[in-house]
Amino acid sequence: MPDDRHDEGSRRLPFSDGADDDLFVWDGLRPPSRPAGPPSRRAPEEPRRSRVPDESRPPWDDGAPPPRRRDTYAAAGAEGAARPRRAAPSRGADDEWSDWLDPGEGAQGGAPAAGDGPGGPFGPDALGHAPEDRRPRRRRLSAGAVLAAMLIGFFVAGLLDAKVIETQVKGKPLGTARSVQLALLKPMVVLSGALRLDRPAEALSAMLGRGEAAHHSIAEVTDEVKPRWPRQITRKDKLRLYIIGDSMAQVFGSSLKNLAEETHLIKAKLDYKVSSGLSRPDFFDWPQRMIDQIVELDPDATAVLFGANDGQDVMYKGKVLKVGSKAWQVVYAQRVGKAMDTLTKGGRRAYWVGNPIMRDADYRERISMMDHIYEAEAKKHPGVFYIPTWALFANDKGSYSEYLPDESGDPVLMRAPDGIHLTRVGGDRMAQATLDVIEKDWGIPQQP
Amino acid sequence: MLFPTITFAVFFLVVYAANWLLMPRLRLWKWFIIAASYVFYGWWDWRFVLLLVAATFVNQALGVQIARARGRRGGGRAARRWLALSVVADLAALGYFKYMDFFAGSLDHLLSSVGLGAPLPLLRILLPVGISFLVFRVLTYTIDIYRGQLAPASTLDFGVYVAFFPYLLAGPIARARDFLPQLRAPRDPHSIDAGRAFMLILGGLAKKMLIADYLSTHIVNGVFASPQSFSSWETLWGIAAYSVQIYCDFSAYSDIAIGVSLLLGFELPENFNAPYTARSIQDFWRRWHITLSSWLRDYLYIPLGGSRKGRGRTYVNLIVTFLLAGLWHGAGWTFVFWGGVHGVGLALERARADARQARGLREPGATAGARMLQRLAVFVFVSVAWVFFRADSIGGAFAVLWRLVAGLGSIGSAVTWPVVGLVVLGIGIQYVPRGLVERLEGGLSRIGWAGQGAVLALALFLIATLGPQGAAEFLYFKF
Repeated sequence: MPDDRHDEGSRRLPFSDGADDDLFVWDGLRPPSRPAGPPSRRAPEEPRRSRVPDESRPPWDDGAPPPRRRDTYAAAGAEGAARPRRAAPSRGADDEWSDWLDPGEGAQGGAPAAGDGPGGPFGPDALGHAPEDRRPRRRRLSAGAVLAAMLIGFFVAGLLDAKVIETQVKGKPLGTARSVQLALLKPMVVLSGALRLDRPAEALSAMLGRGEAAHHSIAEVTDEVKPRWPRQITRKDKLRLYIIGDSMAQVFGSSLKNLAEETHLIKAKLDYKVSSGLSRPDFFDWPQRMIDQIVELDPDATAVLFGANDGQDVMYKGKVLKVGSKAWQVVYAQRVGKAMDTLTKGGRRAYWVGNPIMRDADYRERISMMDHIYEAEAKKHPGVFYIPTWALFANDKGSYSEYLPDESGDPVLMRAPDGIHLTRVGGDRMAQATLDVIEKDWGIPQQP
Repeated sequence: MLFPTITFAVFFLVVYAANWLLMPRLRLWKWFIIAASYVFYGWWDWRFVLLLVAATFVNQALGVQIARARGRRGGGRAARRWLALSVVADLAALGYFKYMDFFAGSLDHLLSSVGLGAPLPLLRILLPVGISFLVFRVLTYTIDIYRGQLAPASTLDFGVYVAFFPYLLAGPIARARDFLPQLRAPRDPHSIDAGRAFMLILGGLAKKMLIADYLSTHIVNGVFASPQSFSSWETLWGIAAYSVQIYCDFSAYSDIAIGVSLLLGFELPENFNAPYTARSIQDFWRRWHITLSSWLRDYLYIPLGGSRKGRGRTYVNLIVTFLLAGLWHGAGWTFVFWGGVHGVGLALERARADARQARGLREPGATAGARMLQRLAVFVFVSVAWVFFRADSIGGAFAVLWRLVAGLGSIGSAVTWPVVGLVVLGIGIQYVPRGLVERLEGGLSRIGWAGQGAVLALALFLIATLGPQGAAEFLYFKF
């Protein structure tokens, strides 16, 4: 390897007492006296580099000075190149990274550099690179050939996964973008089906147990045999709490689970699905999921947090209902009511948690509308409690605020940067309000 | 725009085709790649693009001033002033967007605790994704000009360097002096290293979609959200799974970025080199996020004095560097604590080596068993530190660690065979010899475009079918 670095002298003195006056690095950011280097003879081809720039020299062992690479950019005559003050000896292009690769004195300090070789545990040629002449040759392709490879790859993978992609697109909000994407996908789906290229994905999904699972029916949700509520909750006979919702329930739900289980009288199960809600059962069928889980888990009560994704158009009997329209509100209220019926069957209790105030005005309006629907439906359904949280996350002027005072009056961050989701502290606040209602309802002594 | 999405695939096909069509007209190509990169970045929020524009013009102007001052006799002081202005401007932007509320909140809390109220307003500023990477990247430009290692580029070239979309969001932190030379002449359209590029992209997608996302949803999120619900056994695997998750997530982004760049004709530095095979913390940092650790070394640790000012100062420099490295990762005390743990670990390692050196002792040759124990010890150390990196608060981190002893007695159900298998796989792939990977890359490159298309189709199909539906964000975006 060529070793004609102009800073070679300084490299021999890694532990000297800063006597190397060429190294600005030991003296704040004093510029080096040496200039940028001369033009590279190999321009315009940039130097070949090691793929692992720092094999031997530990980053924290500054036995060697920082890399002093010549400015090949300036050397090529680029605009604005600085005038070199003094010519420096030429360096071969191959040693562009050689400052890093040289096993310098820096390896003295600290823990063993790389143990059994710069490449790793099996020696330099095992995890490290093979010597240049023994490295497998790679054939290079032209841009057109690579484009052809990518087009083949994407097209065939698209055919194999056409149905999966179609399912994902169907879950997007109703609208022009979704319609266009579905229209574009249609020929792929048809072709995939005709060529039976959708079979491998189905077989793979079935192998992984992702196929369509058998569902339970509402008839299987048993009626009350012995009084479920009220009853004495003890450590042996815990309250089984099922927590469901969308992405909002991720933080809120885990906070509620944590707080509830700290009582040692409640056993909680969190079940949330990002981007879901009650507007789009074609994306995620929560009504069916509720039935399945109630049959399988037999919870005593359910805490519910929906709405964040429900402010979108819904498909009802083949018609698209615009979000916020009268018809939309009627249909959405029916769905909420039906969910409440399911959750309270068999004497179960449901705690429907309202959404907090949101940052963006339009979105806030929709959320407020849905909160009103939840509250109204809860009043119609015995065993359902509506827990408003809007005001819990509003400031003293009733407006949205990222930061709100905690119990001691210090401002703490309650909301995520998106103006929708909660931070952990925010989740705890919402969960505590919910738990207070649950404890009161079941006669569980409140925690101090 | 996320890499593992159909949106990006379509975007990339269009950009790829235009990239090579326009490449012969280099100036036009530069305008095009800047526009494409702005679209990529503005996909989140168009306002972010303003940051790129500002970073380009401010740093370019200052870089030119630094070079002019350096070119004048006796212009060293002026150059230093311009450099200081550039460092202050870039760090101020980072401080404003990323740390303003953190510092104001911490100060408020401190003042409040001594009865002085909370006088500072908290603004909750929109954090542009990848701003930490952006700032560190542009700093290499002005600092290297000051150091005489680089001449100012044209504004157009620097605009490409600032915005080049493959590394824009989460690195690797390509230095200006490595990237700008590649803009000198059109890239060769007949010499694309597609074998390596496809291996990197497909490997990255597999790491992200099949390992990181699975572990995240099946054990890690639960263990960190509700530690008291998990047994010691589950917590142990949850912590190990997070170590694997963060590696598979972050290295995947780097690999995809490098692969995508290769397809466009550009080389980026490698960012990971089997970090969990490290036998010392120092070795770990030579293998983990290499472009950041070398950045910190060259632009922070060494200017602080490095190891040139005595042993005590060396240890202090290590700790200070890593405290700041922690802060770079996020505006929170958990990140500072994480950095501190690594800094202290490095300092202790260094002190031990210094003590041995002072007594004239050499490092004993390690047996195979001892080497494995060293690797295990480093993995345990790094994993415990990751707990602080992942947790919502320092208290939350200790709650997780406490479960390691408080959750004895039951096994729980979270540690499934797929979880165990993927943790083992995530560590095991780091022990795959490089030579084998290079042979695979070579083999893939030799089967021609039709064969590569077939491999691409099969791999994409498997990743899409076996992976979770919908792509999760890469962890390092928030930094």
